[in-house]
Amino acid sequence: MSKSFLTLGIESSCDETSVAVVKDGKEVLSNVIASQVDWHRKFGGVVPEIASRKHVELINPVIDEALKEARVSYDDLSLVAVTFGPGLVGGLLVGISAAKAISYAHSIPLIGVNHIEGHIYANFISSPDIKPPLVCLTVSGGHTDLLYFESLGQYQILGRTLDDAAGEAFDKVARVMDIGYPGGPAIDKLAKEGDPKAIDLPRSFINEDNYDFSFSGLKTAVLNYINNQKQKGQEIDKADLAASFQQAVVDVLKAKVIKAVQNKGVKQVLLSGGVASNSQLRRELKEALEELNIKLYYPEPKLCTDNAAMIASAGYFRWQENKEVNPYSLNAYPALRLR
Amino acid sequence: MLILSIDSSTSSGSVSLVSKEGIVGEMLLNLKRTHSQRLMPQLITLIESCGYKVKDLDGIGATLGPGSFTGIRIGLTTAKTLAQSLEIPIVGVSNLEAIAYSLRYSSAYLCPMIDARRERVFTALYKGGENLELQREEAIMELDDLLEVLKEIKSKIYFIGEGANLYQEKISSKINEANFVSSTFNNPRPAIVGELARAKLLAGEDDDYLSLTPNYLKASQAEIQWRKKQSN
Repeated sequence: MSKSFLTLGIESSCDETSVAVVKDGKEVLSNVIASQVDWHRKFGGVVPEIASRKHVELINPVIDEALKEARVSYDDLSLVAVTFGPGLVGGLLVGISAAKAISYAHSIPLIGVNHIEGHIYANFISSPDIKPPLVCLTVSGGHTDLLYFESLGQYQILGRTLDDAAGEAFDKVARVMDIGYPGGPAIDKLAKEGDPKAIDLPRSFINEDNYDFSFSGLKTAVLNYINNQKQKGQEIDKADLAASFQQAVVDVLKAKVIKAVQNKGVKQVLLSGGVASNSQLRRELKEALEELNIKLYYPEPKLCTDNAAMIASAGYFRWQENKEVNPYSLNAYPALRLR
Repeated sequence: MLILSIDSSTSSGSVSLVSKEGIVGEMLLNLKRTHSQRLMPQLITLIESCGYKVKDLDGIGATLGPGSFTGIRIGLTTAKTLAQSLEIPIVGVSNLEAIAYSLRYSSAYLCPMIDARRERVFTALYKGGENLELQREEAIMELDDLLEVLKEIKSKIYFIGEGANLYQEKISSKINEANFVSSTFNNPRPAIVGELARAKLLAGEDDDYLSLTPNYLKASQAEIQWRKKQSN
């Protein structure tokens, strides 16, 4: 038996400080996530400077914890994988600085990982039997991309959002409705008590012959609805509004995935990113795809949040493909996109 | 004993290696290019040029600020993680103290200044002599408020640092005894950061890599606004 390949993953692109040890790209030995959500709640959203400050405090204890939990030492590691974008630059730089230090101190190759790719590879950890070709919908607070995977390390971008990301729309709508933070889970919960047909909201691009998305119109429609109701002196049924908003998002995402699946003729679909945790999106997509005899995969809940195991996994598969390492001049790219 | 020092709290990025005997090597680059691109390559170049390996290090010193929040975080995270993964001690150093330390043999007052934008400075006040004596704690201050305080000191004050350069005219107009030095004193010298770190390490004043944090001297804007809202 060959020696197992251990990757140390580091993720600090938003408001979770996470470090993980992953064996052979798929088996998670540790995945420590220090969430900063309590520090940001009072501001109603992630404050970049506060996030950066927290990352500096949390990164070293989290590294210790991850190694301890995995029962490995630095000398056992074969690769250091770190998120280098997209995300908040201050946080990214903390993770990158720590990754470089470990890489240099112990002569371990360093690889920069695109955070969005990390979310996709979270699926390979949860379901190791996944085999391309497949279609992948990746949705979070920062991105909404529809991808086609020909092989494990090669994908093509079919479409993406032209303005707001789906998760961003969730957060903004939750904020104007004042129903709590983070917005995604808050809306998901409230929507269960509402009528999804109560309020007529736009579904941008749903019938257009492309794979692109747009959510800013929907967000504006919700804002206008709230203002109109207020002007009329009418009460807003928050549950109905949450349900109607969520239905509009799910309808569009579902329609585009079905279109891609039919055009590409794949038998597997992956869902990834923070919004992949949305219960209605999962349920409706699963039902629609089952009718077409297509299997839907999504990562287990812990792997849907920002976590370092997925970064380690993505880094491992990248490394396996071309053995390319990043130099120590590696920088952070806050607006990094999938290529 | 081999100590690596790191300072990236302002536009100057510096690294040094000092031993018990003195300087082994130092390197300072005062550039606009981000520290994340240049710090690690610079550090490796220094260690290799001096004929050492990273595992030869016995301790790390890093500036805690004040200065650029992002710059401090890059330097301190690099330093803490090196100390952590190499299992060697770490110690934090003030970059204001490091700036003042260059002029410690003068018997005058020493006022290091780092620009904090909008006519504010990160500053402290020291008195030179055999040892540097702290006269006023590190703080962020409106330049006008600081000069009001310093006006009362009726003896020679050296203003040092990039902030002093920037506000030289205003300082001179308000402080009779204001003196300025060459701009080569603006940035903390790499080997001085190393020397301060070595002294602390030898005195057993190690910091803990798990709890060592930057010295921002300033709350984040969001925190300041939130506090304002709460007090209204």
